[in-house]
Amino acid sequence: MIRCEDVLREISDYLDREVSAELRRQIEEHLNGCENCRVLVNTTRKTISLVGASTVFEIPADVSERLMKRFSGQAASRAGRSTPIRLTLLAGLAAMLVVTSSILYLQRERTLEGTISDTSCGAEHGMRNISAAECTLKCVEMGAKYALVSGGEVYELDGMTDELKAFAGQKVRLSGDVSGKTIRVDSVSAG
Amino acid sequence: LRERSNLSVEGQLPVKPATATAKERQQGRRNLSFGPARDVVAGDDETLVRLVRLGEKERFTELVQRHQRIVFRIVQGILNSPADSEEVLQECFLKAYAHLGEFRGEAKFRTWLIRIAINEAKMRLRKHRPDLDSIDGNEPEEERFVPRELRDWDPTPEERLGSLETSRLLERAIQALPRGYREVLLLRDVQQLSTEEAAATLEISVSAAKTRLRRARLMMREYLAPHFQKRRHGRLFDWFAGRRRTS
Repeated sequence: MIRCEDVLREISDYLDREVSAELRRQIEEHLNGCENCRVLVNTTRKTISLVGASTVFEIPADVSERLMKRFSGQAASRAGRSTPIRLTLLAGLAAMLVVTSSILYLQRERTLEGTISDTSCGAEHGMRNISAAECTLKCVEMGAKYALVSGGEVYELDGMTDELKAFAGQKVRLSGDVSGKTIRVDSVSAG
Repeated sequence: LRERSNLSVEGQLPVKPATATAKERQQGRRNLSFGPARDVVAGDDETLVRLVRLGEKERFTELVQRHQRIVFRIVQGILNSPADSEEVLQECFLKAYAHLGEFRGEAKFRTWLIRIAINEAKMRLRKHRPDLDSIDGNEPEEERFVPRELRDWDPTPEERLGSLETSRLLERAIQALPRGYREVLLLRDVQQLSTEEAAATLEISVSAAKTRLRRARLMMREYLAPHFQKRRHGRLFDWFAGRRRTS
């Protein structure tokens, strides 16, 4: 014989359909004759349904955007990996011709002033409430390259990573071979 | 980056996913039952994890995209502070990435990730809001719960308030729960995880998860009841009563 306290004890499993067929039958028999338990079960069922259908604690769009920006830096630079191999080779050869001629044209030793950041964040760091240096080091640890933000441009830095690490987030004066948006670093000092 | 979690491994080098050989990468892709690897959005988490560990680091973005909503909901449910939750959300994924090499695949990736998120959120509470943590962290004592609100509800209670106001009310009700109950309810009823997965995520037994869930649901019901119960006299009576009071 099922009592009200038994219904209270089994209510959650009953609503989740996790009670035996026999117990279910007994509970339903009790509910037919007990108005209080019927209300309790129906309103608890409605509570679960309201919670399940709700949009509580939804992630705000700007929070999601900042998070994805934080993590998509490396992905962008590696897009297109699974293009069919022949197409990739042809595109690669064409790109090499363009790049080689561009390198010959553009590459030259230059000295620039700017701030050491990383290729994932560039001029604007995604993590709030931590320093630019900490964010840079974390991004590099995750696979990003050191970068120089100078005059609104972001240059990927090649070489001298130990020295660049010491200047993470700081203003520097940097010399090296500039090739498009990449600099092969020859020297770096406090700016 | 400052280490804030009890999962931190101070002094250890960050775990880097192993570099994959071409053969291994091919093997990783062959295990997929759908198109080329860059279209893996529909793939299971564990396949993506394997590809990231084989060196395709950019695949981690897909895991972030997929799980950001659940992680934020749970963290915000614990912290009730959008600014703190955003930071914990980012730290959770950074930590998951850095420690991906330690993910053994014994549990689902989602379970492992939510565990990190909950630990990060608790650590944040302990460090930045210890007063709230000490009150909120106490498990309620075993007690005999007696339902008080036993008047029936409107058949469609959400129509009375509208969906936005209903969501805000539900958020207040969830925040009013003791934390142990809240965590189970967030996983089970908000995120619709199975009881077994909720228990595994929280590292408690299934029977403990069921007990907490039952109490959480009943407490939620009590909190919501005054907002959704049927009126005693009907709308016409209320209208007359209102006119008499104002005349």
